[in-house]
Amino acid sequence: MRKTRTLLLASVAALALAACDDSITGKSDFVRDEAQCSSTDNPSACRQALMDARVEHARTAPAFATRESCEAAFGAANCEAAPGTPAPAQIAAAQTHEATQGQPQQQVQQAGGGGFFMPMLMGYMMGRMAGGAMAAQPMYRDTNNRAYTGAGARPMGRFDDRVMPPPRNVNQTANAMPRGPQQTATSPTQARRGGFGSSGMGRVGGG
Amino acid sequence: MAEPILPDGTPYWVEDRGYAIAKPQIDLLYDAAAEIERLTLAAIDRIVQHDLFDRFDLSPLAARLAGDSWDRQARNLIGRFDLAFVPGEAPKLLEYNADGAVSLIEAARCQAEWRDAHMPDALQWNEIEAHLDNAWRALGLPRLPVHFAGLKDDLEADRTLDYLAETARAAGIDARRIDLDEIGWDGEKFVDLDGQTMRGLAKIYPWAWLARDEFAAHLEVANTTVLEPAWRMLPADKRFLALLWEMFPDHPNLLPTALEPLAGPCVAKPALGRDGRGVAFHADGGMKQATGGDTEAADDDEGPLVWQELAPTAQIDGRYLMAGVWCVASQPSGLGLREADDPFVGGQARFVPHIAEETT
Repeated sequence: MRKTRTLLLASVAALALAACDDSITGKSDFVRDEAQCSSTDNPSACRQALMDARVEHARTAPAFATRESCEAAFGAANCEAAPGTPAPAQIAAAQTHEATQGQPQQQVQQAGGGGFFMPMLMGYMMGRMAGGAMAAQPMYRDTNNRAYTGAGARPMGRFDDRVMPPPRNVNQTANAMPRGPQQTATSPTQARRGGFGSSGMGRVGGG
Repeated sequence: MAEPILPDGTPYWVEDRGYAIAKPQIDLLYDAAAEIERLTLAAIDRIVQHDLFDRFDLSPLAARLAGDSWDRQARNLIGRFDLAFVPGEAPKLLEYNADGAVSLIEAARCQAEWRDAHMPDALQWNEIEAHLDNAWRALGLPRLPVHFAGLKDDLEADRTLDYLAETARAAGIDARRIDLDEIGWDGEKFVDLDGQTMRGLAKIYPWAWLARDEFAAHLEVANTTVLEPAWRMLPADKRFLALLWEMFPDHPNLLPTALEPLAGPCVAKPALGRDGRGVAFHADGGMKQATGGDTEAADDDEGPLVWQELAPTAQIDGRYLMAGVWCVASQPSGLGLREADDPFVGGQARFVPHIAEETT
């Protein structure tokens, strides 16, 4: 029996990461921006999917209170300030990133955001749905410049096409726009925490 | 435990070979799992109806949580039977990982990938993902998010929770992740870091620990569906194996099990031990020998020892096999084989993919 892809040799985590790299370097699944839509076989569906993905980005991109905490999760220079951030230096930084990335900031405003930092979009994962429509997921980089989809992203088909969820961070404040009914929200500061987990600390819970 | 290398330096995940299992043998494993699940549910019903919680040293709170969840018919999601088997004979239950089973990704995904890559025409007993999809939908969880939670530094639980969350999303559930110690209590309900009400909590963290945590009492009043439900703490406790034997003596799929040493060769396991920790072999006459893979002593709070007759195990080319049969919503759904160089095939055993082979 022949050896197969090296990814099968490794642990489960390596599987996911290798699969992720395959997705990015592989064929046409990854689209950086609208310009690249022209080279697809359905440019208008591609552009529509990217617009939808922008909204998804605004809704689901992890938000951080500081650039530092964002960069801790997504890597140096991989974060940008959401508009409305009060500090001029941060606004300037955001504009710099806007200029280099060419990513319109407008969609972030749709999220009602302000005063937080988000990972920069590095592009989109394109998927094809039944009937020829296309769907795109926002993609981000992590500290190792691997690619991730957004926090609320749907899995994309088979394991080979799957990407890891974004790294979680205790400083992460919230998704840009929390899902679910708003009346259920409690101010996070009103809740006591730390009441679960102490009995198992330092051990593993699986069996 | 899903690190690529085991403590003895050998790879955990085997991909240069697999086991071909005759379909009648798979049928035996399927039938055994279906039968043991039937026995298990009957035994839990007896425990709840006859208030036998003392046999598990449960706190009053833990007993109420378990009993109430059973009375509510709270649905279970997934578990793994570890079965000793000798080809052609009735498989024997070693234990039921009913509350936080891992090695799920290997069984549900990795070996399917292996089959696709090497032998795409071969059959494999692996309907785990399809059954998970059905089970998530059947749970009828509200549209509010379901949070998948484990201990912060528990890597294998973390990966398994990521995977389970992915299967939930595929079934239309708003699946999110949180660490257990990040869960908040606001006086009325559990909330996540955003302040969102937690209506569903899928955890890899045993009820034996959860029920002792500070917030456990709030589980009685919170409108939060927990997976696995609290009644799963009963079959996850190895004292349950002794109760099964007592209720169904000489059942072909059970091993003689008691709370004291048995006459012949037997294995002693801490009632609440996990992943094979603290398991010891006792030959006739009280000779003691720790398990091959893991000589780490059990923690003080892993409960009394449960004694189980030593089961004969399939042996192929000098390697010992154990069958992990996955049940999704109590339905036998797939097989993950574990392999070791000694007869104690536990948490440190290699995962080897399988295919099902037609017999003529």
